[in-house]
Amino acid sequence: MSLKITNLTKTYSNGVKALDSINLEIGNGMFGLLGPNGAGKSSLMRTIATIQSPDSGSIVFNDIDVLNDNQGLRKVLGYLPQEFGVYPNMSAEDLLLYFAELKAISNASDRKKIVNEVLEITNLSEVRNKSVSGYSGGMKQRFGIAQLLLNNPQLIIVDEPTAGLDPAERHRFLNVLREIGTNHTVIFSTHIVDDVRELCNEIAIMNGGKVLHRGSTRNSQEHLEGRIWTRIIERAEFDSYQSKYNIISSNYNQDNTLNIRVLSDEQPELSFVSARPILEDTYFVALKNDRA
Amino acid sequence: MFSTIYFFELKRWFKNPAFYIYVALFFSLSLFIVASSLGVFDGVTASTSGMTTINSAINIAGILNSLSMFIYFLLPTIIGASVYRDFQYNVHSYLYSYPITKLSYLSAKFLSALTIITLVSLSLGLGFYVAQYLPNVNQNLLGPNNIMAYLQPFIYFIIPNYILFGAIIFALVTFTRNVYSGVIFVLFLFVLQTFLNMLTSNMDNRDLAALVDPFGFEALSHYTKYWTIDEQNNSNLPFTGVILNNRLIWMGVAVVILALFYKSFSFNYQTFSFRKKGEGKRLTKNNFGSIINVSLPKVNFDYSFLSRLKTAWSLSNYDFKYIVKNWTFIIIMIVTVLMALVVASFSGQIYGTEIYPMTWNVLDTLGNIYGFFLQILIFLFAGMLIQRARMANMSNLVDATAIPNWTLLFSKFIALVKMTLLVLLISMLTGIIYQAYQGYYHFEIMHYITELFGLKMLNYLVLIFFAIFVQSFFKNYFVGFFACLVVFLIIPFLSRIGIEQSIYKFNQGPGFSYSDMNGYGDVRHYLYYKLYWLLFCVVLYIITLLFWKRGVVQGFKEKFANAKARFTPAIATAIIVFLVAFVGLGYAIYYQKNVKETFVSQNETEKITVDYEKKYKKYSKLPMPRIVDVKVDMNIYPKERNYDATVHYQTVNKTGKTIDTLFLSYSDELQTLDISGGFKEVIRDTVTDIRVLALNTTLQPLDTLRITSTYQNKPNNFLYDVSPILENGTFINNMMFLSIGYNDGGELVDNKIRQKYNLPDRDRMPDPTDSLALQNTYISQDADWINFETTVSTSDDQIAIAPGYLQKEWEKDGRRYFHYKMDKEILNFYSFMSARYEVLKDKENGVNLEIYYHKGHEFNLERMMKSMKASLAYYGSSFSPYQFDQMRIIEFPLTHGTFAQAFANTVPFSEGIGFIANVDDEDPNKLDYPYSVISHEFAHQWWAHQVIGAAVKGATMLSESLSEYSSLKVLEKTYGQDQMRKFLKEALDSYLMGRTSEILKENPLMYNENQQYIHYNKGSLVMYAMSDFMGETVFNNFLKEYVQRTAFQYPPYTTSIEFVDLLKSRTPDSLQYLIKDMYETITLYDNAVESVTYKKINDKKYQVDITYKVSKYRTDDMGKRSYEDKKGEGLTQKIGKSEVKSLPLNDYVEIGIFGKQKDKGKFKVDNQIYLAKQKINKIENKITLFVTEEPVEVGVDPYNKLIDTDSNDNRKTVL
Repeated sequence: MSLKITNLTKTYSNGVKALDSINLEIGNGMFGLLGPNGAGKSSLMRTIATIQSPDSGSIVFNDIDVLNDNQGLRKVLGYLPQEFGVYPNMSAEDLLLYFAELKAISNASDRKKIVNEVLEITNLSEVRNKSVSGYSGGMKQRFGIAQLLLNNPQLIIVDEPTAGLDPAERHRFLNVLREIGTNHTVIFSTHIVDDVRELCNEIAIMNGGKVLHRGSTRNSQEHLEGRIWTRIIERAEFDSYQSKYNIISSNYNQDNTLNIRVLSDEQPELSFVSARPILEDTYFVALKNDRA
Repeated sequence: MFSTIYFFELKRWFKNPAFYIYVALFFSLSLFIVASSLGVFDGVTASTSGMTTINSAINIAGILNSLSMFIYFLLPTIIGASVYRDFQYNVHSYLYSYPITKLSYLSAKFLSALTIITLVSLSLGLGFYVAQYLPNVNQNLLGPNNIMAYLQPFIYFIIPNYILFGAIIFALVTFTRNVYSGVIFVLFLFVLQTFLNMLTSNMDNRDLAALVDPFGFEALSHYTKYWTIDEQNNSNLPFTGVILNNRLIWMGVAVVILALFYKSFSFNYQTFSFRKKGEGKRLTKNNFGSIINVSLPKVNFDYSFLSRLKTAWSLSNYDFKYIVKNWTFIIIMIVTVLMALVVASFSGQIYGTEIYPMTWNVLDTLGNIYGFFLQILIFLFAGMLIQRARMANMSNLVDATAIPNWTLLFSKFIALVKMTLLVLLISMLTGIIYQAYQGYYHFEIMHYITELFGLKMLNYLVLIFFAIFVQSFFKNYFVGFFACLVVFLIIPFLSRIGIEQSIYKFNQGPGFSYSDMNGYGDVRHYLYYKLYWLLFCVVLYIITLLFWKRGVVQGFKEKFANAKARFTPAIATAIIVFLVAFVGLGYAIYYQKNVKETFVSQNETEKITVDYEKKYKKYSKLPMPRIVDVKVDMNIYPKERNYDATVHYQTVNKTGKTIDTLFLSYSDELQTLDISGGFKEVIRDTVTDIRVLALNTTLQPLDTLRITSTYQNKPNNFLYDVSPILENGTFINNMMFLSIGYNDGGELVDNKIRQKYNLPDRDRMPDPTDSLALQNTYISQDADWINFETTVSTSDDQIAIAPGYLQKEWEKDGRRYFHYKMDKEILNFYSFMSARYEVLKDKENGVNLEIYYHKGHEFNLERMMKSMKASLAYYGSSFSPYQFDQMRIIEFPLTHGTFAQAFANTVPFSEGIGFIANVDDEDPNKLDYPYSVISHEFAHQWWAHQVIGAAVKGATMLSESLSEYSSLKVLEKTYGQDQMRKFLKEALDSYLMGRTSEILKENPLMYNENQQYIHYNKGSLVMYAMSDFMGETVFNNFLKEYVQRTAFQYPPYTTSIEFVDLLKSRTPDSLQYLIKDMYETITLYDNAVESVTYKKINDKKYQVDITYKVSKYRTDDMGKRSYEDKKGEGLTQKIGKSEVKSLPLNDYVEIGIFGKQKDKGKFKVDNQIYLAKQKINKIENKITLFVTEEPVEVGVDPYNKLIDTDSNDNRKTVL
């Protein structure tokens, strides 16, 4: 199973180039699409999910030429957009039955069966009769997962699903995703590096409509092995360090000192110690390289 | 703070293109309507003409007021949403934490929105003004422009109404946080308007009616309702009395609403809700997740077409539920049902009497109301369903599923169809419940189903297709709704710019009508047009599908690109097939109406009329033979709806000159023409249906010429029945046969239009002094009295009837033949009828009385028979013996109209004007009109069939006015005075209303030119009053003498001058003024009781002191008042602050005193304790009277016998 994206380009009418010759090949398993807000992640996800058409390029999933056979992909697609609503005053069960109809499950008992199952999976069985428009953020996201599972999709696209979830919800959500991801292609976009690290074996980093980095989660960390250095500095020293070194990230300690991480092939100063590269480094390095 | 918000809001609107669209829209609407009234499009339509000027104050107010109501639809979005918008865009969450005061926030919001609405509405006035400077404007229709006339409607009505309704909508939308509550309110306003119209027209207290109308229109009409042409053209808009009070009351209401709103508004987040909050419940979720296994059960996915169809059906259930649970739907339905029940109980009244709630009638009444609301619902919910997923922000989920576009679209379509069926079902139940409530249990369920779910449904399908199409192109369904409405409002106006044929106007075409006798008749005409538009709609539907919005689409370019991608060969084929079918059927209709038949536009009709006069007027002076004997063989084929006829005329040269040329008019149904001695055709004009023939042998004076002609209808075509024959209930008359001589009845009568075509001025009828015109009766121009004989055949299940006595009846080859013959000469005016009749026969004084009726219409047969007997007795003794031995009332279907017509001893009588009236004998406010119409038609056997006026002004006074008088007397003999007041009051109102819309000029009664409001309404009042003043016997003796002098006379025929001269000679000197006032001039009173007091002297004696006003004036033919007689004398008197004027008075006026109302059955009737005529010669009069009962009410002319401008102040309750 693979999804192959070639030269995908999209420019919005306000002149923003949301997708800029994107080329990607995505195989089975969880695929993380990492990028800051406005990177073009959602545009890419929408385009793959057939609800937005690109200016040029092609998308092929298995044998399906997605751009010319929308319906073909939709049959095997599960899509959870970044933001969605539901018809007010309708219970989770009714809405899921509704989606089951949309997804061509023609037999009523089949619909009942699968709706029960997805409610179970997403742990919504207890609140199945409550109206979804009154759900909390996490419950609503789980409902989103429930609806996308209905057609037993082979390609699952989830767009920033963990934004705004509390830790417990986030964990539960990621668990469900991981479970699904074992035998499906799951594309998962987020700007939270931790999500990707925990979940994905393959990642891509995007910004400004371009793919900046592509690799496995492990590779992506390994290729920075020995090039990440860190030390603690005073707040006032930051500017001078920044001009001297390639600082890729910095964060405060409680005593108002700063941890800085620097990308360098050699040890910049004796005060720097070598740090084990983490995915976040890859992310920031990619973004930084793009700017340079 | 106020000005910051105020100007911010204004600026926001000025930057919004919607504002300019609204301004442009209403500017052009007003421009177009005024321009077409001013004749700008006369090049392509019939000439626009009229006596009233378009830019008179009252007309400006009328047009601006009604157009301004369309702007009400903008109130919810402009005023209503002004505060709501801050919630919608979540601005309120920080805005309300700013230091602004409630007062400045709310007032700035309201006033800025009001300013915008006002600016939009001013475009109406501007459009009105600019239209007058367009090219081709008919200057005759313009008076001087007065700037105040444009401003007054805005100041008095339009802006105050925006304040009032704006305030309500402002509060409503802000509290419900839902713009559509405002929309519902606007719809409710339109309903209210119709409802008030109906209510106030049934309200006796006109002062109260004027006050309760929140629009203020009723208050305006309180003063202007009876304005004559002159007053309409020259008077300023009144702004006193009830208008001022009305405005003050309703502005007060607006202030109260705004104040209450201000008090209850607070800067917070919670929306106002009608629903009670449920009990709060502590909600915690399970915060400890577990690892789960995902193993989805195996289910089947079915992507087949059939399965998709099933999906569309079940998806539609979700949408249908959504509609039914929607408050907009529920409220509109409640309003509809209530409205329907109220309207049903008011509708179909003639003189206060309803008709039985027959199914067709209920369907008709309810159909209008349900039709209006259903149209609104379809336009609205089409948009709401299409936008539903997007509004809920769920469209991304839906659009990413494998549901095809067509299934989604089709499910919306089905949901709308289901909604329509539900509404129709409700309307059917309303109808049945209403019938049951009225005690009418003959439920024709199949009839309901056929009409609602069959015929009407086709129309709603068209609306659904159309609404879906329009709505799919708008993001905001309210804008889409408005667009749908605008299209449907504009279509009817297209004929004003010369687009007259229905095939060019969306969803136009003939309607259908039902009659108990003839069913739906040739309903296929309707069906073909609906099929035609449905084919077009399918094309629209496919286009909708092509442009269906799926996912995120930006801009038109992408929309078109998507559509292009979806334009598969299958779709292309479908479009082509339906387009071809649409154009094909359209062409078939076009071919039928334009190629096989000639389509004549209104513009062409006018020119043909002009041509006719210009070319052939010269023949009017030529001597022509006159018909003396008519024999007709008429064969009616009801099943095939065909007829053929052979007509034998025997004509005689009654002139002293020789005749060698015949001028004939006949239609293309004429097959053969045979004239004794032979002829040559000199002129053949198929456009005006004229032939001029040269006779082979010259006709010497008193020579006889036989003309034999045969007729057959053009074959009925696929589209509709050309023939006048109905399957059951044919009613045709001799107008379809050829006539001899030039007929000036076809000439244009409007002198302003005549001048345009260089034709000399003329009146509608010649003057009684025109000796040439006295040679003809107003019924026939080519005969005096004729012998008549006919054989009519029809199918074996029907009875055929024509004037005359039945000589013989036989059957041959499965057809029935009837041979009728007259034993006396009759007017050249006869009819043929055929239907499956039941017959009721009776005999009175040797006269056979018969009623031919439709089975099931037995309700009033007894009543009608009684009326015939009473009429026969009264007329026979009062006027002259009845000239025939029989009288027949024959029912004909509604398809032909709602009227009755008197032929010699034969009266065709519509099923709608008595057979199904639900008469209440006791209610004094409900007139027994089956009784009075029968006696009116019977009276025509004297007043037309014995005495017939010459074809000059005043002729119809001798037939219609006298028949009205006769029937009133018969009614009075049976029902007493109680029913007289109801009749006279309605007659007076009809006369006063009639003269306000006179198209040329108002004539005095004796010179009326076939003007219905004069010869019926004024005529009945005048004759009744004259008889009342002279005494019934004296007046009837005069009539008897007049009949003796003129019955069955030959030319020159009698005129109103002869009638009035004889009347004068039989009228005492003291009453001579009545003849001048009522017959010779247009004279009106303005009588009123000023004050009244009473004292009890003892139990048997009460003293009553009455002060009353009598004022009299004349008007010219435009309605311009004059209070001075020819000598320049007049009266003036100061009453209170105002100066009252009058013509010199030496008049008798009736004074009445009434006691406590008496019971008559369940009703109260007048208890008259004093009534006498008083002679007065002053304007203000005082009288002291003594009566034996306690007085409750007094009146001057309490029964409205005199023509009084305001009949409502004639009676006054004693205090």
